[in-house]
Amino acid sequence: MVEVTAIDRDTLDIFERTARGVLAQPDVVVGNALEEIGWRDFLAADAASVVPLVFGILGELVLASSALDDVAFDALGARGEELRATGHGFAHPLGVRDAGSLSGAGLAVDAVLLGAGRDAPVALVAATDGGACVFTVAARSAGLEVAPLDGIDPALGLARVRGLVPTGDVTVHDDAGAPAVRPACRRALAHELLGATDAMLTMATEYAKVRRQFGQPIGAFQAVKHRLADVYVARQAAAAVLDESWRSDPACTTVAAKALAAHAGAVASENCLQVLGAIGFTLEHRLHRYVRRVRVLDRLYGSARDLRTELGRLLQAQGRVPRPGRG
Amino acid sequence: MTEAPPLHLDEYRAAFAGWLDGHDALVSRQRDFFSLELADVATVQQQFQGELFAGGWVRCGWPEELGGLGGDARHRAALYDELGRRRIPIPESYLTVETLIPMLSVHAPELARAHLTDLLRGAERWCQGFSEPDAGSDLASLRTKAVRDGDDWIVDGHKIWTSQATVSHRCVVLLRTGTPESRHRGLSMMLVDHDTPGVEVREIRTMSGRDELGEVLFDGVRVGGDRLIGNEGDGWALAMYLLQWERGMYPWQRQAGLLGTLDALLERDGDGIDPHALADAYLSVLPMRLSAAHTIRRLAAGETPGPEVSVDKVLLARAELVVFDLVDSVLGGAIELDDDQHAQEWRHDYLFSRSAPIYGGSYEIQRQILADRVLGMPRG
Repeated sequence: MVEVTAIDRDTLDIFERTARGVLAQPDVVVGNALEEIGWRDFLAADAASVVPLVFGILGELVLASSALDDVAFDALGARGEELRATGHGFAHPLGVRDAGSLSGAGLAVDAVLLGAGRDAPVALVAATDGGACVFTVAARSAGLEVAPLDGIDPALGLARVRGLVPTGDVTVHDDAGAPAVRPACRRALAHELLGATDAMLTMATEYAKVRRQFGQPIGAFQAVKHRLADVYVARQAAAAVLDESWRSDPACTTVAAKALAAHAGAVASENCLQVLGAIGFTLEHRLHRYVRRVRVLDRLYGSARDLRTELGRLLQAQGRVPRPGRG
Repeated sequence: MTEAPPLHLDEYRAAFAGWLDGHDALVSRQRDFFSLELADVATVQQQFQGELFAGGWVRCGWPEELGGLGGDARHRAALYDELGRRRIPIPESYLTVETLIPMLSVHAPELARAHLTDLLRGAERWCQGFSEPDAGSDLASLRTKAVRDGDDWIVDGHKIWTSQATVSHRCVVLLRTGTPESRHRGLSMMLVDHDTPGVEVREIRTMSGRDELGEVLFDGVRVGGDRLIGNEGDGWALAMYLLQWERGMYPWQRQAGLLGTLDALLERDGDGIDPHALADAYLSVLPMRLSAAHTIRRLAAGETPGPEVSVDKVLLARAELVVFDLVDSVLGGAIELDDDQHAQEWRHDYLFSRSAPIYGGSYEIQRQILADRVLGMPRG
């Protein structure tokens, strides 16, 4: 892997244009396209610059990929790189808790796989008595069931992975920085949610400018303006916190950022559907793809509702509210 | 005066925190004082302002040529943040200083130079005369007029719902100098002393019980030509210029206060609070803090933020309501049914929070600005 440490503005601009170009192609295979532009090298060099770009575009274009696996492996450093290179899929949790937990009975797993097929080995972060650790489970391991799922968003091509794996079939990698995975993935998902929010806001805004009722564009009505302004405010609020989450203590800010980004996605889903009206409710319009996508992105690594509870408990434990960022 | 505070931001912050640590009595007096009479509040805060000035703390963040000690808006932001962290109310007078002085320092530097130090140390207080009985959200329809008379102006009309009017010494007034039909083009801005013959100030008590607002009536008031801010006809542009400061710094001051309020709730009954509701309140303030910080950094760097800063005001309006709804639920009836001083204070703050979606450009107007000028929606 090429070791790059800082990416200058010009290189980043070129990267963004290239990424947009390849990802906007019809029937793009996202994994190949990202490979083509050297995404993983850029990720290793400067996650803070390229994760917002790439996940923003993935959200905007409502693309399915396993780029989140790359983010998880990147957060694990050298061990993550090794696991990725040896063909592991990454099992992502569906809630605020880890994807698995270790007990005397074995490793209990309940998570989703984004890309890897059912025959690949799986890496995941699981809770143990001594804190979170990275585990791997061999391909076709007894007790681990991998089942493709459609869910609300079949375009994602997810698989549910669950079961109880005997201790003998799991390997623990306690050298890897397991606690870094969750904040990194939450940040990436928040950027994807904001990308999807922006796409919905743009389509509803453009429609409100041209759709005429009562002799004027519906965007001239204050009730419509306010709905779309509310979407904009929600995305700006999430963006302010998400931006700060790359600089401040991630424990609090990534939870806050993902909760706010999922909220922005929900406000956009509701308000943009309302502005688009009946056409937006049909499968002929692409809005439904975004409405579905933000529901699933909300679930991964904890829904907005569960994240709020987690954040509230964190504040209670600290006894004071954190004040990240300065004037 | 003692040695000037360090201007390096982190050092300034630490030094100010150390100074507050060493002034327990002063701090508790500010924190514990409560009155529904604005004049009493002003008197107590004036004492604090005097100390903040003598220590050089509030002079940091303002240029030396205006009587400050150098630095920029980030120093002022740090000071407000530190006061909020300790739950010390930010002196009310600094709200108007933050809104008016950046505008004056560009468009009427001689007025800023003449008054800044008195404003900072509390020797004088100003208010901002914009709203009129028939011009609230529709500011461009205001009718209070100024007519030239030689080098002077004669002002007649009626300002209303003016914050801090009863304890202010002067008022920055937005006036019509053009024809009644000239809308935003025919407006000018002037500084008028409250002790000028023909000026009458009447108190208006708000729902919170305090005489927070006032009416300022002008009857043939003679104002010197040197009190015109900028040029004749600049009023609208000046009002828009100062509003961007009102968007950035006022939400910043309030986020400091609101986070302090959340700390107070945690201290009172941390584990008893519903974590979901607590997080909801925190998540209503945090984006406003970070968004306002971003606006302030841009202003400090000399940039001119666009209409997107209306987001700060929308976030502020919601945050005030959400935080004080949480206060009300945690206190479990004290706001409605108790009469001790704490309950009275919370009651005042709770009721005052209800005005956040109204003042400084209503919630509806801010969202319309965002829709029209950021999203490019068609005008109705």
